[in-house]
Amino acid sequence: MKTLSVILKNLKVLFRSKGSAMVVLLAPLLIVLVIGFGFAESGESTLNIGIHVDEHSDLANRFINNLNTTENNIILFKNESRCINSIKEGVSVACINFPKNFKIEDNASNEVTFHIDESRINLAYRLISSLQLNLDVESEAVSQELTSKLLEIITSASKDVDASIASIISLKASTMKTKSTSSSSTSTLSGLDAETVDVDLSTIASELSSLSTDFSSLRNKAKDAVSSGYKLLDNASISAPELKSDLSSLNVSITATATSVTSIAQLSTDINKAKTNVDNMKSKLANAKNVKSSVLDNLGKLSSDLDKISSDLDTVKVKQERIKANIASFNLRNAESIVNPITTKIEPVTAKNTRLTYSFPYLLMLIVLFVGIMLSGTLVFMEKDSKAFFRTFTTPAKNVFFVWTTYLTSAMTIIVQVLLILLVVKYWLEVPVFTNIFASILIIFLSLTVFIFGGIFLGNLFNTSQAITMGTISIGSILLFLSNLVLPIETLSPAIQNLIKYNPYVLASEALRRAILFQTPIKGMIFEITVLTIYSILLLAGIIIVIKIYSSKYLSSIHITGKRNIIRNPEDHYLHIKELNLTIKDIQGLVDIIKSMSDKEYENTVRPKNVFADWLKNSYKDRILSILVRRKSRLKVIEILERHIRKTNS
Amino acid sequence: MNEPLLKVEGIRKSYGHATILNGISLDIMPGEIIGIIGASGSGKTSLLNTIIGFIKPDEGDIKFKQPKIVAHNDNAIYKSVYKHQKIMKNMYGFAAQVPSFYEKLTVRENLNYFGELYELSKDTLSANVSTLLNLLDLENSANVLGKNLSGGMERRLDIACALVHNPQILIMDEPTADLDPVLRNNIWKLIQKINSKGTTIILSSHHLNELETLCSRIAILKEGKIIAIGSAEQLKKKFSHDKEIRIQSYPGNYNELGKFLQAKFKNKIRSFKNQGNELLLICDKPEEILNDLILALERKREKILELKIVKQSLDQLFISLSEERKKK
Repeated sequence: MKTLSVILKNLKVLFRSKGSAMVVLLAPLLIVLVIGFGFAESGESTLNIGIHVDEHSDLANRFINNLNTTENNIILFKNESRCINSIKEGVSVACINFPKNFKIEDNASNEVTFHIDESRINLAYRLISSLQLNLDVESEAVSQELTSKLLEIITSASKDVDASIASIISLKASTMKTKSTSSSSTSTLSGLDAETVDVDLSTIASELSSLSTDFSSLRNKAKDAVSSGYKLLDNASISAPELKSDLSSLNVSITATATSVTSIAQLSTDINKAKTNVDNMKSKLANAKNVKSSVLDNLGKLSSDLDKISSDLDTVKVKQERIKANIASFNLRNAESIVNPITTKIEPVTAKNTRLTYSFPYLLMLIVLFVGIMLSGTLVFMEKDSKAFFRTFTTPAKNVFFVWTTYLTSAMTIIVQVLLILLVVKYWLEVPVFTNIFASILIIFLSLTVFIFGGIFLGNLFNTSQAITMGTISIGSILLFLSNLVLPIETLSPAIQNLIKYNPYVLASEALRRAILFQTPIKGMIFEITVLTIYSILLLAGIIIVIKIYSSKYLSSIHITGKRNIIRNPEDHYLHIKELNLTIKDIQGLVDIIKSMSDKEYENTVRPKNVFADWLKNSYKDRILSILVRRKSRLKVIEILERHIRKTNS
Repeated sequence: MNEPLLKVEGIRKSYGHATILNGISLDIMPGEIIGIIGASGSGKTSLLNTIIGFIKPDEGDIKFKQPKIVAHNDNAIYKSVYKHQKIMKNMYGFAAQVPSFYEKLTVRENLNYFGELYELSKDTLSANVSTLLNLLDLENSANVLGKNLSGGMERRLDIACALVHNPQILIMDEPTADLDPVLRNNIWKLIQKINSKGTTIILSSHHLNELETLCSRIAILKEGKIIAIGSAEQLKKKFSHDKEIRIQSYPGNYNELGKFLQAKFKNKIRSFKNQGNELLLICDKPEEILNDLILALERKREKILELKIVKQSLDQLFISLSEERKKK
């Protein structure tokens, strides 16, 4: 019972402070809801991938198309540096560069470069892996295509070789046949008698005999003619020396032809011999003619066979040339090019750094976030909770002055912390934090302003330390969880991404990261600076409004003693009914009055406006009791009120 | 001619059905100590809140006399406290029933801090702090943290904080609440001391008898109205026609005895009050019943230890006035 009593007391104390109860109950729910909502739809996330292609090729386009999935949103850039800058500007998460002359050849450049922001530790490797997977799929497809092509070439070559073998077999048959024909011709030709034989000259011999006879007759006649000449001359006693000389010469010549007659006779004999020989030769030539005819026939066949061989050889040549062409068309000679047609290279967009350097902006902003929001919230609460709070209302200092001083106190504390951290990481851990110092300082200043104002706002909004603590932790946690530090925001759904990009922690940490790691100048962070400035102004306006409302509430609720809500004028709560000249001080008094009334008097009092129910609602703030007594009979109302009194007293 | 420092002009304030302040008009004169008394819920709290400017009335206004800027301008200029909060806040200091200062600052740091909020020059602030430490006897505790102060010292530090900017008016609410008689006496003396320096003081208290000796004027509030205002003597003269017979007896069955005596002297004793250590009888002419009263006491076997006849105290006057109004 004792335990139960203490628990009940604790719950009453907790829940009677509405702000605390609300925050204690709702803050965890809010965290879970907001973060859960943010993370729930992560499947539909889209990553912006920058792509630069030096020269568009089918292969490059294939890879780009393969990357252009629902998970990736492809942004094409005309130059590589612009593509890389898009990472630094946060437009894309990676830049893929396809080289000029990107094709699958031995000497072609087939190295794809991934430009990755390694400072996005929780995204970089995941992204590389994802993109690599995309490229690997395509690369594998290309590899398969190459292998298929190679196999096709081999298959085609095999078919051509088969055809060539058939041609060769045919060629061999033709050759054998030619050989046979050739042997036959050889045999035929060897049967040919080519020995020379004498020619039959019998006619010539008879003609020569006739000629010899004729010539001897002619010679005799010539001799008779010459003797007749001499006689004539002698008879004619003609002196014709010249004629006589000629006749003498003719006579000499005729005498000389005696040997010719002999020769002609010999010739005739020889011709007769020749005639015999020619007759023999004729016989032999007749045989040779037959042989010739047979050989010619064989040679005709041989020519035909040779034509076929030539044709077969042409066919074989064509096949071989085709095989050669096919093999020549597969222009890869390097096994690596077939097995792994695309190579990739990872290029960080920042200089190689340690993980601490990469995560430092997030960590620094985390400190600014939590210290800013919690310190300022605590300072406000400490002031509100201090005994001196009331006195500040009596001084001429304005509310804005206290906001300003709380801001400066928190800011100075954070600045000291940040400076210490910067010095430690710069000189001990060697993180290059002073490379873009003005932009970094501006971002730190704006972010601490937003977070401090946030803390001041919450500190003024809530009235209990529990509520402020839970409120600041909840808001801090939500800002933290819905940032790049836990999960890359690119992995969340686009709708959530659009919301999260306005998360002041995301704005500040991303801007600081770019300032430190990419040396992004101030003009490159205009969006973040503008949004953070707007937040600061809105929060300041919110603070002033909340303080005005709170001050007015506080001043109207405090007793002059400076204690809040401890003494109110009891008469404030009295119910005065002028018509009946009645003053009801408490619920027991109400019961007494209702008991003393008749039913009719009661009905007249609670119709049309139920002043009793209104009084319970407004003065006792007991909405439930107010509802319970509305539209009830007099006796029922008495019963309800008496039960309420008994319950309260117990 | 002495002009009021503050003019409360017919202020009226209601919350829902309840009227908290019902047409209160009051002038606060410079250099006076004015006490506001009233039962819980009489409206004195709301009146003080309204005077400071924390609560804006539904009707009426509170005006303060603007400090003279032009030396030879004799006409007093009055301005509404609600429209000139900064000037008004510089004019008054406030000492609450619960001391209001930073417990983690020392006495001197508290004074310096609040002095800075009033934008005092360094020299003025330094002089004021020294004066106050001396005036309120806090010199030896100047470097003591607020949380380490005793109850009386806390109260004095609170008053010092209220006075650090040298205000014309010091408003004190129940300045002696929760203090033992010795500390209470010290605070009253301190208030007189502050007033002697020219500071106008408005205070409320339940210790009406103490107000009687301290205040130059007392305003009695009931149901949001001032039912009487004037010096203690003026009030008594005007409203009190009764005297008190104070009896200390043994065994002291005062309730029974009171009822018995009121019944016996029906027309003479108007009321009685058991004060724990004494019985208080209110009557018009105590001398007329004194002999019979002593006999009656003996008959009731009450041994008289002390019996005196005094003029009605402020406490009783307040009660009487309240009851009279009720009857009316």
